[in-house]
Amino acid sequence: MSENSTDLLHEVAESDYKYGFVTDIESDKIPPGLSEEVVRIISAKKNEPEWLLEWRLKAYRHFISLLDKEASPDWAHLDLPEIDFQAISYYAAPKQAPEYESIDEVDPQLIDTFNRLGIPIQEQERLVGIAVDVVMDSVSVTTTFNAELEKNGIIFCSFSDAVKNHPDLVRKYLGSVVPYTDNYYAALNSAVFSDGSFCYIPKGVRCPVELSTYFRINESGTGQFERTLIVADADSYVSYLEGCTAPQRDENQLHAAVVEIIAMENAEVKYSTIQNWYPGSAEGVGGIFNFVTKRGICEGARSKISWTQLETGSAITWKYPSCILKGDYSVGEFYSVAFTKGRQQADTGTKMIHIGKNTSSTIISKGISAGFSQNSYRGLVKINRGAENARNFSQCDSMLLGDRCGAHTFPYLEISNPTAKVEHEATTSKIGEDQMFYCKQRGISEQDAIKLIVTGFCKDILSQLPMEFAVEARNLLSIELEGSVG
Amino acid sequence: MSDQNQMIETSRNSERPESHFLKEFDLLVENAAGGTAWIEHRHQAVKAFSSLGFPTKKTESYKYTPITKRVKSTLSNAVESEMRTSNRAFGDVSGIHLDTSNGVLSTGPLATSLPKGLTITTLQEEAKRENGVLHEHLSGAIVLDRDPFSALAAALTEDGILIHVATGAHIEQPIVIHHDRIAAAGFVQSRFLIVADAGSTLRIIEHFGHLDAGSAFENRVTEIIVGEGANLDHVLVYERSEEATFVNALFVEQGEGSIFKTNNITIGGGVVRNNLNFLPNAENCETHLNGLYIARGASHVDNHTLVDHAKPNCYSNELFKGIVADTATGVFNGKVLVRQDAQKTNAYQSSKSILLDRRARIFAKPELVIYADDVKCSHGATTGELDDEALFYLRSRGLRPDAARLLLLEAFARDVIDLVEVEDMREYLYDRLHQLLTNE
Repeated sequence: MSENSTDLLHEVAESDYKYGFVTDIESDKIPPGLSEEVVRIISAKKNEPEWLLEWRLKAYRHFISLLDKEASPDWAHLDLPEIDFQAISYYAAPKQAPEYESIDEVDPQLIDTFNRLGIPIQEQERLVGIAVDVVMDSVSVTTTFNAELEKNGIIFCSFSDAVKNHPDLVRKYLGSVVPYTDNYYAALNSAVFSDGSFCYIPKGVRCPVELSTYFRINESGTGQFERTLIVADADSYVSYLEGCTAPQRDENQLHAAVVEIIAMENAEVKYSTIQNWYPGSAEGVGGIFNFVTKRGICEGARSKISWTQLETGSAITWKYPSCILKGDYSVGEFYSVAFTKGRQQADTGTKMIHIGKNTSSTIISKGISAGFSQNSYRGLVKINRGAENARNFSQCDSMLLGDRCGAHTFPYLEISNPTAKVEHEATTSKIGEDQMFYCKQRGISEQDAIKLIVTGFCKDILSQLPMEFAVEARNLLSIELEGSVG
Repeated sequence: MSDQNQMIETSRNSERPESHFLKEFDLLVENAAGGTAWIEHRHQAVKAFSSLGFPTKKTESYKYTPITKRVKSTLSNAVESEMRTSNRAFGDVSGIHLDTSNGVLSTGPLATSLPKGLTITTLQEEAKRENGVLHEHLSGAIVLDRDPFSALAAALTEDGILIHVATGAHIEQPIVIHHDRIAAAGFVQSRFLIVADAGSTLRIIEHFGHLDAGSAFENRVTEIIVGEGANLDHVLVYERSEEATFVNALFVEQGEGSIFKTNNITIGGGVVRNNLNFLPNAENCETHLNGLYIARGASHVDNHTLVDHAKPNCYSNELFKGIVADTATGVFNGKVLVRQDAQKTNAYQSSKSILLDRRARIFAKPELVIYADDVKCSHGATTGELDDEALFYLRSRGLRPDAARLLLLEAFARDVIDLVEVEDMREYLYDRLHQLLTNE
């Protein structure tokens, strides 16, 4: 590649984070540290019932036992700094946290933040027709469109409200897909989770709007421990969007979320994510640690769970949205684009566990690395003994933009049934000189050509996103690529 | 049993298997012959072994292969000094024939009637020579701290085989090694060094026979050093009995413009683990790595490969095929590592497997770890049954279902056998394949 485009790639790799600002809202924050007392305080502040406190404490004890054993996961292809769990404050709620009747009552500064992020809440309410459960740090500030959703019997609210108003549902499903013993960060989340979203789609209901939550980390020094629980009852459908951008800061922040999805017979859940947390400076200072456990279970026959993600942010990403295909004829899908630059590290992928008969799964993963970043795909396809006629297709392609980054593929295929058909393929390459030459001789500038080729490389994934998201995703990707050049 | 005996019994059971080998090492080294460099190397090896220890359940590289269980069971069985003699399948292949006994040349060093430029000797003999090949190349390719078994074999092996081809020598006839005498039980550690100097050519065939082969645990390490512009072809056929265990480490280091080919055919054994490591350590190297395994009964076959591209402009191609039947397990882990300076690397890998029975299992982990941008790397892995459409096609041509299946399976496996360049060997392997697939 010519020197010119190498320069461009450098600029791409070094471009600044566009969404870096801190909103000045006073927070109600408990001092840093992790102890049984802290877990009790969190639970008490949220007026939680006894059973939930018990569950949190069990999780806390499990986490402490893992901490004592120094059992933090070290298998990922990541250079993890040691995390001091006693230096993190586990609860921060915006101080003015009344229940808003309408959006006009919301702190104007908050509205301003969202406007700068390009999320016009009021307009969304009127024009786009998306119900937004906005999470600002840890407590849900506003929930819109509830009335409309209620008409259909759909429950979409903050996790705390769900505990208050629908304790039976929460108690039944909480931890049923990701038990607190699942892994290190899931144990931590289960002990100290602050808030999150809860969604229940009743039998036979097709959710009329796309449900969306915007997560933001706003309070310096607070980890964010979200918990999302989505239950789609028989014959229902829901499309859930989650997107996030975070203010620039120097301090490392820990984000350990848990997402659980349950799809009953014939239900379909589509979960889309745009992840754009602060990635740290070009030298690798600061940035979010994003250690997320996302898992769905296709409980009933013919159910379907589909994960789509665009990962561009975070200093370190450790995330494997997975599907347990328990129901016969159930379907799991995973579509992912992971873009890393600067000193970012990503180890992401999926697990497809085939248990039921005639289950099928598709994995399409595209990794793009630039600068000094490391980008890994890690995935598991497991076909259990009883999973007759299971089918899997996986494709993992990596693209390297620059000669100081890395692209890695670690697929695990575990097959215990002869009727299974499992295919995995992976390629690694850079942007072809012939491709660049072709674009340039048609009068397309070097940077436009790179954008064009990279967008084309990711097309399969971007087309899976819901429309509004797809536009946003494409913009985000070109901004990331453009860097300071554009 | 008296209390005291019971105590001794418990302490023996709770003793870690490593300590047995460390003690054995101390005994061996006390009486060891050979130069000081050789002893020094073995000390380093035992140090590496002792710090690695045998794999546990948490050891990623042995995740699917419970080999330590096999180590323990071999230790607890009584050691028999009886020797077994297995079949010689390639006795009629024209070439230079060597026999081994527990991995050591039965004949001792060969001096006469060898083509010019070829030396075949024992490591013991070579260690005595001050400026010999051994001193120059000892531990030239092996990476001691990568795997406990290769470190262990390097530490404990008292003697081994050395084959050396001098600069520019073209050895027309293949060297055929019959590993046909083996202890009936217990551990057999062995070591093999092949050095092909610049511009030489050599073909090596190794056979581990199946008939009456006993239940020994063979732990072997082979180092191959391929000099600048040299061309080396290596074929290994392993077909010991179902009680046997085989841990086979191969370390290959290639010089500039060299070509190395290996074909690893595993059609026997109870637990087989191949650790195949390739380091094309200069520009313009070509590496071909092929393998076939057929796992039947309760057997367990694990192929671990690592191609470490350290220098630019190299090419590697890897093809592994497996057929897994009954309650057997097949494991494939293929890692392609492209280091930062290895620009213009072309690395390809393909792993295909077929499961024949309900309780058969396959674990595959094809890895790409890439740090250079101007490369073309790909891997593909498939697992499945025979293609229904192909079966239907053959049946529509009048073939019975079992004949159609057999035809397809043989065609699948022959892809790898066809890459063996010696015709007599191919014929033998076709026959064995047919026997294994029809249970004759």
